[in-house]
Order: sequence, then C-alpha cells, then structure tokens
Amino acid sequence: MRNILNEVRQGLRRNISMLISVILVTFISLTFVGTASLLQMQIGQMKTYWYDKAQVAIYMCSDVSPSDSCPQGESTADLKSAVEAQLTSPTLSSYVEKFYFENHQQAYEKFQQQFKGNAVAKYVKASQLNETYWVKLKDPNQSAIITESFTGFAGVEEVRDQRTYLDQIFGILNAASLAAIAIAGLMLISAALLISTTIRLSAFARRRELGIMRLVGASNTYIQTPFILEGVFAAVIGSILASAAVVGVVQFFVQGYLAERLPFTNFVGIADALIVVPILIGVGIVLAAIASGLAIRRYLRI
Amino acid sequence: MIRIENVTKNYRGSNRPALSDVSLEIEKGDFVFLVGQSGSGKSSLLRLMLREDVPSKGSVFVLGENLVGIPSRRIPFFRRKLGVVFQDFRLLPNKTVAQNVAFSLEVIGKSAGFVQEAVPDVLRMVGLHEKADRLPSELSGGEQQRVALARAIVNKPALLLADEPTGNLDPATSDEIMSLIDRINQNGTTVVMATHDRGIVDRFQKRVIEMSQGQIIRDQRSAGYN
Repeated sequence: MRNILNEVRQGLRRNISMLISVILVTFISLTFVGTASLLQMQIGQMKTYWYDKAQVAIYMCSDVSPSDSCPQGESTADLKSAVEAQLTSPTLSSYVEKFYFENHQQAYEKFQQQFKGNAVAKYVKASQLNETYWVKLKDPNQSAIITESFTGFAGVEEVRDQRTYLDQIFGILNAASLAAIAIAGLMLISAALLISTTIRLSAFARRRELGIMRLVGASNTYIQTPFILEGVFAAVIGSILASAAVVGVVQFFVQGYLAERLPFTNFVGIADALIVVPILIGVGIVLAAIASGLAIRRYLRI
Repeated sequence: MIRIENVTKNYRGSNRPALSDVSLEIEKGDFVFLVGQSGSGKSSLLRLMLREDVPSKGSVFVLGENLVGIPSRRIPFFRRKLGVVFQDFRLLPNKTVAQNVAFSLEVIGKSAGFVQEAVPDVLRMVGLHEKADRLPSELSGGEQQRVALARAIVNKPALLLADEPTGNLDPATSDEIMSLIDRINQNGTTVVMATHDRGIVDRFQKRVIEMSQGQIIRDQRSAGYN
C-alpha cells in the first residue's frame, strides 16, 4: 500500500500541468452538471407551487372585445348570473373549489399595481379590462371541463387556464436546463478523454517500470491501482471545487440575491445544494476510475 | 518442467512461421543452450515459455501450467515462479542496485522484513553487496547483468530463462556471468539460455538445442555449438 501511494505521488508530480487541466475540466463540467440539476429542482419546486395557485379565468365581454366572440358588446348582468348559475350547478360544482368575480374597478386596481411605473398604466381605462370569473379547481388538471363548458357561452370572451402561461415559462426554463445538461455531457466526455490521455502519458513515461513489473509478476491490480488513483485524485479535487461552486452559487446568488429581490418565489436552498454535492463527487470518481482504468488496460495486456 | 508439443507460431504480416511444429521437453534441473542464427526462432520459443505470447497451434506447459489456456489474471502468479534475464539488463535507472532487486519483491507483495533479508543475501551471492547503493549507470555491463541475475533469482525460482545474457559483454565478463548461472543451476534451478556464444557452449558441454528456420534441427546432450 505504501508503495502504491508512493507511485501515485510520483505520477502526480511528473505531469503537474496535465493534472491541473484534468482538475479544471472536471471542475467546470461538474459545475454544469450541478447547476443543471439545481435548475431542474427549481423548476420542480416552482411547478408545484404555481400550478397549485393557477386558476382558470373566464373573461367576460367588455366594450372593446372583438365582435366575433362578443356580438352583444359588454356582458349584461343576466349573462353574468347565467355564468354564475352554471358554475354552481351540480355538474360543475363538484370540480370547483371556489370562484370569485372581479369587476372592472378591481381589475383596474390590479392592473395599476402590476404595471406600476409602466407607460401603459396611464392609458388604460377600467372599462377596457375584462370582468373576470376566477375559478379555482379542486384538481388543476381538469381545467378542460371549465374551458369546454364556457367557450362560446354567451357573454364570455375567452376561457383561459393560467397554467398555459406557466407552461411557457417552464418550457423556457426546461430548455435552459436541458442545454446546461447537454453542455455538461460534452464537457464530461472531454473530461473523460483528457483523463485517459493523461493516464496514458503517465503510463508511457513509466513503461520501463511497467515492463519490469509485468516481468517479475506484479498483479494487474497492483499495476493498475496507482494510475486509477491518480485519475481519481485529480477528479476528486475537480468535483470538490465544483461542489463548492454550486454551494456558493446557491448561497450568494440564489439565496443572497434572487430570493431578496423576488420574495414570493420559493428558491432552491443550501439543503438542495447539499443533495447535489455527493452526486457530483460520485460522478467525478466513477468517471475518472472508468476513464483511467480503460486507458491503462492497454499496458496490462500480456 | 517444460513441455512443448507441436507448436507453430505465425506472426501477422509474415508468411513464414517463426516456429513450425516444434516439440521438446526439459526436465527439472536441466541446463539447456538454445542456439541458432538470428531469426531461427530462439526468442519466439522463450517468449512462449514466459507467456509473453501464445502459440498459433500446439500446447505449452511450463512449471505445471498450461500456458495456452491460462486466464490472464493468473499470468502474474505464474511469472513469480520463474526468473528472466535479457541481453539489455532491464534495470530501472533511477533506483539503486538494492532498490532494483527490492522492487521486484515489493511489487509481488513481499513483506518489508523479507525484502530486508533477501536482498543483501542475493547481492552477496552475485558479489555486489558492496555496491548495493550504486545506481546502474555507475556499474559496468557485467555488474549490471549480475544485478539483473540477482533480481531474477531473489525469489528462488524453479526456472531461469536467459535471452543472450552475455550478448553485450566482453569474454572475461561473460565468463563471470556464466559461472554465476552455472552455480544457480547447481542449486537446483532449471536454466534455459539462448545464446550465440560458441565458446561458452563448447566449454560447458550441456544439452544443446539448435534451431533453424523455426524448427529444431538438433537436440543433443553434452554437446558443443555444432
């Protein structure tokens, strides 16, 4: 064992620049892996949070509604009570958890709050904003029932599941995390190739020793182990750096910056980052062990 | 000890076989000279005995192991039972004499205590115990070959394979090496030695196996070079 560790130390000292490049490449690729998995976690958390809040909006006709869906102009009180009656009818009420009505004035106030400071807030008038029935469903997946019941209903301009907006946002986030995973994959491949090249060079530099070891009957494990440990050592340092980077990003950027600016969003925390850390170190070790094991195999063939 | 049966060895890219239908048997304690011109098949035969190669046809048994069917993870354990020396010594240039010998024991997992006892013993036997701390580059060719011999026999092998061990040495130094190998043989180790050195073969009058174009053309006890 002492001999093996001695061999590892010598090997590491012999090509320090390759060692540094292996450390950097595993560091960067595993940082991408870590970021991508945290992004996935973030998407998952936001999905559960927002999907739960998402409601179905039944927009009633207003003065400015297009005439093909609202030939009669502004919805009358009769038409509104027909919608209400339908929502409380036995067929629908079993799906609806609750609903509430938002009139022009309430919609205006909400709009002013949402677009505070934006030029559009000055020009919009209360009458231009739809009166809306906000429907919260017991099971948000069943929004089609509401959509089907009220699309084309007299006095209804449009029925919209808020989740369709969320799906777009999540689609973008998902694409971003898939891109990060794809980059991570490419970087991991180059890390593996770099590790195996490094180990091959290291074995080439020690080919005399290897030849004599084989001649006097050193076992394959004995010959192989220093090289595999060499690769694993570099990769472990790289993955520790990557773990530190991931934890740092969560601590200082996500929790320290994003969470303060967007107080109503539930962001991934240190606990999530700490789940990712052992995964990164594990990936680093396995990748390096396989890459260097395969690289050294050629020198063991007898 | 060694049994080779109907062995043929073809190398890729050459249509003439390096060995063609070779059979031979070597008993325990034998001293055998393998002679013949370069390319006659001596080295190919030694490589098969060392299991650096497998025959294209036929079977090779050495020290009770069937070297054709042996699984590769057992080859290192087979090699621990024999010693090898080459024309070019194959010493590690950055290790001292003692470290070179110790290395071969350490890599097969011998204890530090065993190494500490065995290395000075074997260096005394080859007459190099006073130069234990020298580097190979500080030694003469004959001394380097003695280190290689010390390394080959430190594990007390039953078989010593030698591929032109005197090929790089002057006649006087060759004689020192040969008397050492003879002593190793008298201690019970079987020796198979490939050589070009007519003088040595004639003087020792041991068993001679002469090869030509991949075949054995003479196998004679107590014989000379031709």
